[in-house]
Amino acid sequence: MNLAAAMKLLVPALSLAIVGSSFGAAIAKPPPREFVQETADQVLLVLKKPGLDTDAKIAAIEEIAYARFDFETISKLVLARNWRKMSPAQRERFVAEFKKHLSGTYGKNVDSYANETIEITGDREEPRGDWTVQTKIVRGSNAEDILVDYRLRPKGDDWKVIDVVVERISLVSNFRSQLQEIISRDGIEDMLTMLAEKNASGESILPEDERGPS
Amino acid sequence: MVLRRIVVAVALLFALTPADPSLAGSGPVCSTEEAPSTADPDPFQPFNRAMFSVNDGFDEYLLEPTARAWDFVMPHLVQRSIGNFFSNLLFPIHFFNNLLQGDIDPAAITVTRFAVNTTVGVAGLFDPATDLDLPIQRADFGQTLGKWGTPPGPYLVWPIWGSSNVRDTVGLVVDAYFGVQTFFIDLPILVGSTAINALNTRSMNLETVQGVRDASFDLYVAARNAYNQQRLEDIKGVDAARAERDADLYFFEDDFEEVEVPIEEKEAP
Repeated sequence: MNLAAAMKLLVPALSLAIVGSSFGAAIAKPPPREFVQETADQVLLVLKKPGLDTDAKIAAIEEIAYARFDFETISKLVLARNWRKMSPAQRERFVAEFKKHLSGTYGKNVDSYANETIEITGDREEPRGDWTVQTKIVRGSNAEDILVDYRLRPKGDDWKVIDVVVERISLVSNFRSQLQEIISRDGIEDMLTMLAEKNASGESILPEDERGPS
Repeated sequence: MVLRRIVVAVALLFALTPADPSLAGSGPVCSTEEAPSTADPDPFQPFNRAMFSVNDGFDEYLLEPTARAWDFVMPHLVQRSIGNFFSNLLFPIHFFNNLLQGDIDPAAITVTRFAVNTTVGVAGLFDPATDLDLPIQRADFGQTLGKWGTPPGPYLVWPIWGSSNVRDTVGLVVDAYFGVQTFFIDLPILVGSTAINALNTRSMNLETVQGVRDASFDLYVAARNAYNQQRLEDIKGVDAARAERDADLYFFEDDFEEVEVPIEEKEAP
């Protein structure tokens, strides 16, 4: 189905893709490819570790993600112009809930790991110090590879991931359009409530709203 | 007959489309101060959302459960082979559109792929061509029209098919014609095989779709955005699409009047 094709493989990619580890502070920024390679290795190590139960794996990967992703910048980019309309308290709530949402939904996939490997296929410099590293999740002969690009931004003496582009779909762009729609329909407070409810419910309750087309 | 009806519907849609340039593209042309930063024009949203929930219900109650059963019964290798088989039949669509887009080398690869996969690959069940460095050269008529300069027009959701837009709907009809004419397929066989193809494809994406459902706040908007992002790249190519999108996506703070955003690149001459 076309929807399936369009949204292709977003999540298995991400569960593997959430990268990082709390290495000691490097003296200088590592080359971007190295940053991604290093973090991919860390994630694969967790996924492959025998005897580690699901919760422990989720926790370990969450920790890696927290260290390697800049959730504040991601939140800003995702909210775009709405960010400036929000109070500091609202911003704080959003960052906390969005972080939880991302790690919650993607963490659930640790058990579907099936010996995939991550291959770095290229990298390029972006304007103003950003860097993109291109990778491929190799899934063996039973499934097609998944293309995942990481957008990195320098922070301090290291890199932080600020966007993940899965099969040419930027998550920042995707979430931005969803939040834009919700905010312009329901307002910022309702958006925050929706986000918190979704997190609290854990499972996937799609807003089965009878809202209908406004 | 079905095709004829679709063509009429499309013509009507064209006629109904307001001549407002802001509806014509997703480019920065239409961004005004008040426009949302990710502008996805969607004047038919009520219709689209209705179609989307029909498709969603169809998927939830029929397609997905069947696909789960299918996935349970079928070995991965068989699922892949069925996928390969249908993919191989897209040869005329890819080939004609490679040519129409002036891509001679991809057209040659498409022909060679078809020859190799149809013979060595046992009627397309296997894909030895990819291993021989002849990767698939996807192309469709919506993309061809886009490369010729046709704007996408408003976003549309069709029953069963899902995401599209006015331009890609025309493309779909033309491509269907290419495909059907080449293989002289009877309608019942066409419908049956399309259903099997859809079911099989869905069975290979069970976790993915579930994951996207879980991760999304508004699945309709998520699907629309994903479709628009991928189509922009299909048509403009990676570099131009990125040039069009990246500044707004990653450096939108430039538009902020806030003082708290430091302007770093202000080196005095």
